[in-house]
Amino acid sequence: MPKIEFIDPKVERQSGEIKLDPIPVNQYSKSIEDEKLNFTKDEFIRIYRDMVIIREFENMINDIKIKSEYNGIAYNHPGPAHLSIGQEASAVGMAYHLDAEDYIFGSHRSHGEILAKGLSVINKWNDSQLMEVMKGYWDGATLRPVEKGIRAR
Amino acid sequence: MAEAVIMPRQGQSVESCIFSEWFFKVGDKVSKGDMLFTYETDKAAFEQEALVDGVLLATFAKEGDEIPVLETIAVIGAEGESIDEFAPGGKATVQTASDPHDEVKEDKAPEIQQPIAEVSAGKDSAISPRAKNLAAKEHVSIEHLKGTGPEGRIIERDVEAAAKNRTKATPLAKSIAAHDHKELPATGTGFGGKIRAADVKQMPSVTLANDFTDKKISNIRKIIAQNMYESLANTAQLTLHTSADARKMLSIRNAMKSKMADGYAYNITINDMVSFATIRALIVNPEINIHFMGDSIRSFSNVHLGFAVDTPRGLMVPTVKNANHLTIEGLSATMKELAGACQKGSVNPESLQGATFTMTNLGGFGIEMFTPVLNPPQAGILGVNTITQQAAQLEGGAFGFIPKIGLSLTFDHRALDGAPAARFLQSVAHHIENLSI
Amino acid sequence: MNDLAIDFLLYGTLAEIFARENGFNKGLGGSMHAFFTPFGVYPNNAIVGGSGDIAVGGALYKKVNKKPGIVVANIGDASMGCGPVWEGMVFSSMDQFRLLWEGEFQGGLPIIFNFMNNQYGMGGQTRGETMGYDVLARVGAAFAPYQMHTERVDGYNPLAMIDACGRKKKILEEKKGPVLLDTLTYRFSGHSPSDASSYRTKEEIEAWQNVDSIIDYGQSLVKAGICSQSDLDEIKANTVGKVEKVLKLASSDDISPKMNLYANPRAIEEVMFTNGSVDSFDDREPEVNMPMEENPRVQQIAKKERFGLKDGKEVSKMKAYQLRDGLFEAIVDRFYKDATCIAYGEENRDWGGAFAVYRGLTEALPYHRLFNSSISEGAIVGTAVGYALCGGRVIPELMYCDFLGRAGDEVFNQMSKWQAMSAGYLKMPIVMRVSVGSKYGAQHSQDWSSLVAHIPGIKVIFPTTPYDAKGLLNAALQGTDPVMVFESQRLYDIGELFHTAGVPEGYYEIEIGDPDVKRAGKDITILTIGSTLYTAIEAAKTLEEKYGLSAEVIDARSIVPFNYEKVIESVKKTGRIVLASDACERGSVLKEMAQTISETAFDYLDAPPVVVGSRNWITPAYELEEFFFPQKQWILDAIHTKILPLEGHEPKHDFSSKEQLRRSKLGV
Repeated sequence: MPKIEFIDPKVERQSGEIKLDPIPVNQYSKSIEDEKLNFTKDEFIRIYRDMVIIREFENMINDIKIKSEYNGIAYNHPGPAHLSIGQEASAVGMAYHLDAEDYIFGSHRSHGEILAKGLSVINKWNDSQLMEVMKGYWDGATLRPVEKGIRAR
Repeated sequence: MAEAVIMPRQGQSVESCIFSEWFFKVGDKVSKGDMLFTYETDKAAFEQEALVDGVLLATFAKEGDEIPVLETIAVIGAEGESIDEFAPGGKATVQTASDPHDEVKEDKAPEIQQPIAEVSAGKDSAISPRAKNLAAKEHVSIEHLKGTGPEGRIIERDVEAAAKNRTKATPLAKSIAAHDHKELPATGTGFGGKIRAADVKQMPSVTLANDFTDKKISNIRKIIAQNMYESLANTAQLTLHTSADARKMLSIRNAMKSKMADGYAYNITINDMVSFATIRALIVNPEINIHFMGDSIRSFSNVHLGFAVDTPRGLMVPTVKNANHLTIEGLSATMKELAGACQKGSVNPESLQGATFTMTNLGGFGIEMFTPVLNPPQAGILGVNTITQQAAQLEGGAFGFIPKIGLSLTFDHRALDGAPAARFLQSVAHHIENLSI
Repeated sequence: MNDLAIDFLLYGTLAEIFARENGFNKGLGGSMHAFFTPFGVYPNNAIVGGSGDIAVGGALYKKVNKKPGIVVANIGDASMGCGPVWEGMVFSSMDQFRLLWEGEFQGGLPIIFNFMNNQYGMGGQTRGETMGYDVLARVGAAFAPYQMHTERVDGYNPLAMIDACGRKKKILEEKKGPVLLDTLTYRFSGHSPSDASSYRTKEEIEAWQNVDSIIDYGQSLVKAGICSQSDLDEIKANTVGKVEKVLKLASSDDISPKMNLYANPRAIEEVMFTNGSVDSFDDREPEVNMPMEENPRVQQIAKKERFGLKDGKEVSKMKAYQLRDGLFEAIVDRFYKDATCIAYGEENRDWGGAFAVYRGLTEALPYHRLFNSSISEGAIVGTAVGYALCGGRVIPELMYCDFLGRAGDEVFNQMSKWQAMSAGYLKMPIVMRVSVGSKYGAQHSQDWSSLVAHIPGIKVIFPTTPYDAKGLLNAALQGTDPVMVFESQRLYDIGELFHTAGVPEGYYEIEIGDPDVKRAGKDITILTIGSTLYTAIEAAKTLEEKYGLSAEVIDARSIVPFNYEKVIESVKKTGRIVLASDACERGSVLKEMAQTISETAFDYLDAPPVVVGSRNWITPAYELEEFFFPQKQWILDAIHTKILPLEGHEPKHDFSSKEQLRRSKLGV
């Protein structure tokens, strides 16, 4: 109850000063060697892969917007596409420790964050968890084209 | 592009016409085919349709004006178009659409509306959809309804009142009226036109009332009045009466009716048959088929049969030219066509001239005998009466009743004497009784 | 399987960007509103800083409902200029979480405000031009003594970012949130592909490209012997193949059709509302302080007269079951049913709400279910949006309708949109209460129900009797859609004067959208919204007594949705209708209703429907309110002048068309 938070004029009127703690700026200074204790080889590589996926996905959209084609695949996308090419490390780093129970909310420039978070969860989940979600989502409408595509390849 | 409306030429001899009435106001929209105005010649009244769509921009004629034919009397065009080029050199009254802004000013309503301002609902007054539907359902004419809604709008209650109150009165008003032996007035001052006791009390006393209204007569009425008066004042006319056995005609009429049921196209009436018989009689009695010119008599080799037609505008007498050349079917059709044109006001003035003898029929009204008035310079006019049952000796020597049609011949004693006139009338009766067609 | 899942992720996202029905949100979200909640990816937001308060609601949901996990608001550096972001940070760092919330609920909210600091906001450079923080991280020091654990991290080094986020996540798990991260980064691409980047130099872009995190990191992996360059090249080649594949799939009209609105013209209509009926969003036992029957307010209400008339006379205010009691009963019932249900506003706890609706709730509920919030209308609604999106029921309250402007984006762009932009996947069970004031002048007396009704996606109700208040609020609290509840301050103490059986003690619902005939009549219909009902009843009495007209009075009760059946039926009978409410006349939703009536019942109308609203002025002082709000005389004058001249009536106010046009010409 706020009533127990007594606002005491004696205390309130005392003179003094506010001391702020130092604010860390870019304090991280470890090398890959240092981090070898914390990451496996696969984990190191996966971090790279996730950044590349995001970069390529956005490069593709950039090409579609600017040239209306990507690697010979023509398409015209009239809608918006706010890209974050260059920001992949932030997205992947942000999402790395997050699982599905951790929620992210984004902005107009969040393709990278969506993918990074999704990739992080995919990496943490087992096959049956993944399959259950993918099959259940819109009754598998999103999954079906992808499955077919894999068979076709 | 605005277009002029001109006074039409009605026959070669007509130089000018009397303008009667506009059916539209300046500023109204008119459509091609709408009845635009009426006018009259000395012989007939006519209606003229609009020939183009548009807004009636200006009118240059008013009732009673004598307008030379082919002169511009109005302009129809698009709203706002100039009418300058059409205005007749300042002679006629130029009435143009008033500026709509002025109208708004004139229309200036008081800041706060007066309660229940009864505004007479003319043709253009607004009516609510609900009232309109109710009027259609209840067969209430909205033409003369007074709108009691906002700004004179006809609303549901107005139609309801009209439907219920064709003579709706309060019980008190009814009892006062009954006591005083008074007819109820047409409308009252109560809600929705209800007749209240006060309305009955305010009615003028039966004995002291000035019970007349004055109304100017139409031009055609003036012409008829003049012609009739001159006929009686300037000729020596008298009338002979007889009757003819109508059995033959009635049997032909019955035969015709069954023929028509089988598809025969002509509706030959008793009047057609009497006319046909009269034409035959005129051929053999040419001394009455004449014009009496005062110091000469003009004889005609053919019969041009005039016949009187009752029209909403008054009496008109179109002429069947060379009627003696027509079969009864031809005669019947021609007479119907001319009569129809007179009714509509579209008759060609040429058709109203040149008769050598006239027929007039009041038989339809049950008239048994009358004295028709001559149309000078003609010398004869035959009045046809109703058919009555008269006692007569029948073929076997027995007495019985036979249908006889009355005939009343007025003739000008200046032109011929009684005996030839009577002979002619006898001849007519003979042709009726021995009609063969 | 991972491979398939990655394809699924890329395809679902791209199909969404391309507005395809197979997209994560059936193409109704698009690039800026894509999300996939099964992976914990909650909505992105096209409004800069939009997530700044919504994400706080997500964190609130986790805390109140004891759910595992943290929440990250990924927002840009330029959003530091947005009020809702500050409001979100203020809300999230309220002392009460640490000091007043009890037991396991005590402690900070599990949220990271992660500012993706790419140095630019549209054409403005934040540091050096549009901001004054020097280093963004500095801002965190302003919130709470622990300074939001604020820190700048080098977002160009993935390992630095992973390190920072790992540390921050631990802080949140220790209930020491919130956290502020200033993530230093840079985008090579423009704001959008159409952006020529005229606001920055080529040299600057190149300088950042020279330290491209992907190249740098790849090289350091090779250097550290973790993999070879050809491994990296293979990753790249694989990725290109994947991207080509999903592009082919997502751009194909056969494989990935767009929503077919020809085949189903109602496809979007069907997702505007979820129209659910849910007793409780969580199976757990609701946390309450006492059995309901021991609650002093409940005991007090039990003694009241549940019908407001006795022997034809109004029961005294003290004895009557009031409209506020109806609201209270519906709300307290839900608190005892649904463990996720929480309520907050600026004076909800202890005070009992500015208008005593919540009196008794403080005793009934622990702090985490009923609390006072900072005076942050944007965050009050924004956090509610986040709370609801994550699966909880919430009753935010703004004391005055007039404060809606402060929550404009949250109401108009957030609360109203997410159900449809998720193609119905997300629910928005928010019952938002606002009161329409009187007596307090221009900024405390406005009925803005029309503004809200204009925005698609929000249900709007305006109960005016205790019976309707309880029944409608029950329906709102049982539903899954956002409902804005307008309450008139003039009516909080009114008894039930219409429902002769009185207000039922048990639970019942009144269908949202169903108007109610409060007085039957046959000559004219009066349709009202809000407290004008009572003015209309007075007008109806005068019409009857003085002019012999029997008026049918209908209370709209709801504005969105609105079922016209009863109104049209009435108009078919009477042929005439006046619509009245306290909203300013221009743009009033009554005009919309009048228009709909004109279109659907035209042939039955004996006069155009006439709207009587408040003047298009500021609300003047209480002493002058009779010149502003519709009065009985106005209704009679409007009928007399525009619908049906009343015999002997002397109008005092000018309802002529001429005056109407004059006012319109002047905009007043």
